[in-house]
This record gives sequence, structure tokens and C-alpha cells, in this order.
Amino acid sequence: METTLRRTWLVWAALVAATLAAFADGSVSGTAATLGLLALAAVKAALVIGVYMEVGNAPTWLRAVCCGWLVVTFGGLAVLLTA
Amino acid sequence: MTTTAVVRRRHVPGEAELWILVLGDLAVFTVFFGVLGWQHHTHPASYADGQAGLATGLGLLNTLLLLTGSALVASALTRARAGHWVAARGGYLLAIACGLGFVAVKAVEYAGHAGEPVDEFLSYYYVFTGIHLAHVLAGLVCLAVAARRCGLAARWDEPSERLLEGLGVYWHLVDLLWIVLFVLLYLA
Repeated sequence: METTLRRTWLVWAALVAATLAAFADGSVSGTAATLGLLALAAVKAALVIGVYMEVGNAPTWLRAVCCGWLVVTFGGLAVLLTA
Repeated sequence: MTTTAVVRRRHVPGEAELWILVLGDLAVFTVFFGVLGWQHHTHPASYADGQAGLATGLGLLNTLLLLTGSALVASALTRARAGHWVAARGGYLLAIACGLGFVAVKAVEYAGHAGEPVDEFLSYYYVFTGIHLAHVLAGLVCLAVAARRCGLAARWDEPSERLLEGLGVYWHLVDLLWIVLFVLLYLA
């Protein structure tokens, strides 16, 4: 149990760090900054899905669907926000 | 069924039927994200003006509240699996406090825009954050049910596992949707 709890709060620390990094990056404009923001959000989303929603321990079909959602959503947004 | 077996075997978190709702919600919000992305693409100047009018600090605070709530819910599930029901219940109650904090901050944010002319950006802001806020309120009900279950349950069994996992998945979905909304509305 202690290992799982430690992992949960390490992920929380990573999520908070990514949020603060995005907040700092948000004051910068340009394509690279926008892609950086989307990359940070994609990592955060992947952590929430994989660890907190426990999809990382789910059957292949559910992991594939969630992975596909991440690719489509953030890939599409990257195109729309930087084109 | 041992606790180890429950944790380690590969399975769909919660009831499988719940994922129809979760994936359906994700699909609907993906359309919302696409609408915001399209607005950003086609009207970059007015989109940037709209973003400049938002209180980014409050958006950041709400993000931190939801992330903390998610970590508390994940921790509570771990404690429930180990049979630590009192600690698990405490975790769910603290997560509820985070959720209520989110609602309060959102109310402050909405109040700050009261009386402002509602342009296209602000319309999207109200609609999408309003729908998300409804999800937060539903998530708070889920967390209350989870806390009550921890008060009633005497042992970790299959129904408890399915229920607490499912309620947690819904709360994490609320967090996940906000992660994308925060970037699109406040930052990008």
C-alpha cells in the first residue's frame, strides 16, 4: 500500500509541476510555446488516465481507446492552434 | 479473493458499462475542444482578447484543487483496498472539500464577469465551463456516495471494488476534462 500511495503523490507532484510550468509558459506567445503547453497538458492527461483512472492496468482495448483519444485530441489541437 | 489479487489482475476499472458514459463524455468534450480550437484558429485576435479578460490565477487555483482532489481519491481507493476504511473516508471527504473549493472559485470567477457584454469567446466560456461545472457537481455526489460506502463497508469485496473504482473514475474524468479546458481557455 505504501508504494502505491507514494506513486500517487509523486504523480500529483508531477502534475502540479507541469501545471505551474504551463502557467509560466502561458505568458509566452509563439508556436513553440503553444506546442509546449499542449505537450504538458497531454502528459498530465496521460498520467491521470494511466495512473489515477488505472487504465494502465486495464485490458488492451481500453488502453488503446484512451491512447487513441490522447493522440486525436492533442494532435488535432496542435494542428488547429499552430496552423 | 485476496487484496493482492484485486490490485494486480488486469481489469476494467469500475463497471464496464460506466465506460460507455466515460468514453461518450470524452467524445462530446472532444467536440467542444475542437470548437475552441477552431475559434482559436479562425479568430486568433478576438480569441486572445477574450483570454486576456479571464482571471488566469483563478483558473490555476481551480486546476490545483482538482489535481489535489484526484490524488486524494486515488489514495482513498488504495486505503480502502487495504481495509483502512476510516482513512479512506477521510480522503474522500477532503476531496469533496477540494471540489467545493472549485465550485466556490468558479462562482467568484463568474461574478467577476457579471455585467460584461457577452461576446463569442465569453459565450463559449460560459457554456463549456458551465457543462464542466455540472460534471463537478455530479462528481461531488459520487464522492459523497464513496465516503458513505466507506462508513458502511466492513470488508473489501467485489461490489465495493467496482463501486469505489467507478466513482473514482468519474471524478478523475472531471479532472481530465478540466486539464484540457484550462489550457484552451486560459493559456494557449
